[in-house]
Amino acid sequence: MQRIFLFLLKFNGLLAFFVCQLIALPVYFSRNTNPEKQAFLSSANGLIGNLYESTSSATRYWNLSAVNDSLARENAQLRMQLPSSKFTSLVQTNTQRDTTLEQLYQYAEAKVINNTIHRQHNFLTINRGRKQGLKPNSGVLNGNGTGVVGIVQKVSNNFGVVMSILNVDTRISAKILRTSNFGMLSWDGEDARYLTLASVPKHAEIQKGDTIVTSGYSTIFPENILIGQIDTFYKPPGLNFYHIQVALFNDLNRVQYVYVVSDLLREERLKLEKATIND
Amino acid sequence: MTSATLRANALRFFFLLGLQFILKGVDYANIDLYIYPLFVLLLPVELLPAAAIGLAFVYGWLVDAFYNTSGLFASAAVLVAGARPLALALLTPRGGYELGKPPTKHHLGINWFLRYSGILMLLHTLWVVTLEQLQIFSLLWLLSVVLVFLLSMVVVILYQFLFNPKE
Repeated sequence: MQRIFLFLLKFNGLLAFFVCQLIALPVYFSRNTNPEKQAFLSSANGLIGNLYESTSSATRYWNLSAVNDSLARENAQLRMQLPSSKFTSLVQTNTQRDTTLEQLYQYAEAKVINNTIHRQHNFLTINRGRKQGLKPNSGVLNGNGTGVVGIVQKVSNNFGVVMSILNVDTRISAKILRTSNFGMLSWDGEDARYLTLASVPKHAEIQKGDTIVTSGYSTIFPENILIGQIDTFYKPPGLNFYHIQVALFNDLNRVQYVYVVSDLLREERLKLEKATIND
Repeated sequence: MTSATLRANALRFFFLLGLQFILKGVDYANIDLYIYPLFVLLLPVELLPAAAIGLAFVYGWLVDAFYNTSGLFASAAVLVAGARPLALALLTPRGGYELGKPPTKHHLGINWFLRYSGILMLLHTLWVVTLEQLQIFSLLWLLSVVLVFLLSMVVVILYQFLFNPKE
């Protein structure tokens, strides 16, 4: 017994070192596979979330004028869509309520209270959580109307952590608006202004400046949300797909307000797709 | 361990966490500065290695909570705490360490402290950058290591000159 004790005492540092590493490293490497378990020690945690919210409310004023500009621009865009700002050629418009249209996407606004862009795995924290109806795997759009921001990953009672599009693990299904070819958007971890669009076949006729929008094939984003435009592209030798660099429309460093969009028919759709795979 | 040492380390625990939180906000330079390992560096020399590692583990998790990196900084802080006895043995001054005096610039001189913090901060930088990028010896990796290491050393040394901790 005494021998065991002496042994433990002699190698206490080594033992403690391996025990701690064996806890920390597996948790770090599995951070994306079971995010639910980790919400307790992240900025989705109440205490740290509150700290971020109070610092964010102090620094928000520095960006107020830029926010104002983007809100004014969006206001202008919305005004253009008002019936009163359109010329009606019909004498009598249909005022009956349409019961064939069901709400598919639900939008909620949220404020970004924490954000990074320069790490390999970037996250944002927003001030909406389970209590406000936020669910994991909802899409997050830029509050100024153009561009996507990320995907909700972890949710606590009052806060949510969003996996930024500037995260090397994020994948977004996107298409080229003009030709309708779709591919997978991801980030290479280097320049925060560009994403890479992969899996677009070589026979597609693409051009510099083509607009990239969301494809609507996933249950995360609605179709035709503006993302960016083609900056450069080339055909890598030996591959059947283009390598396309997409310049983002939005600056992730300046995003302050976002819209969270959730698909109300997501469960039904996933259930059907899963049942088909199992057959 | 005297109560003064205990108090100084407890204060440093919260103060460095606050500093790290502020440094996290400095992301216009697109590079991270790390000052939190200084807490592990300045723990008393005679502290049991397992206790130092346990403290570092807890401390790293708190930093992880701010950065949303679940485990990255816990692992890095444990590495620093584990390597600390080796660095201390390597740099033992003539006549050994005086009991009750922590390894600071005030007690052991700037040259000694530069070597001590240099070894451990370099180790910390290599560990964090490699785990984060999951690649090694690439240009981006090399650039990150050099910049993160140099800038972190600047803040660590600056801290010594600003506060010159005795306990």
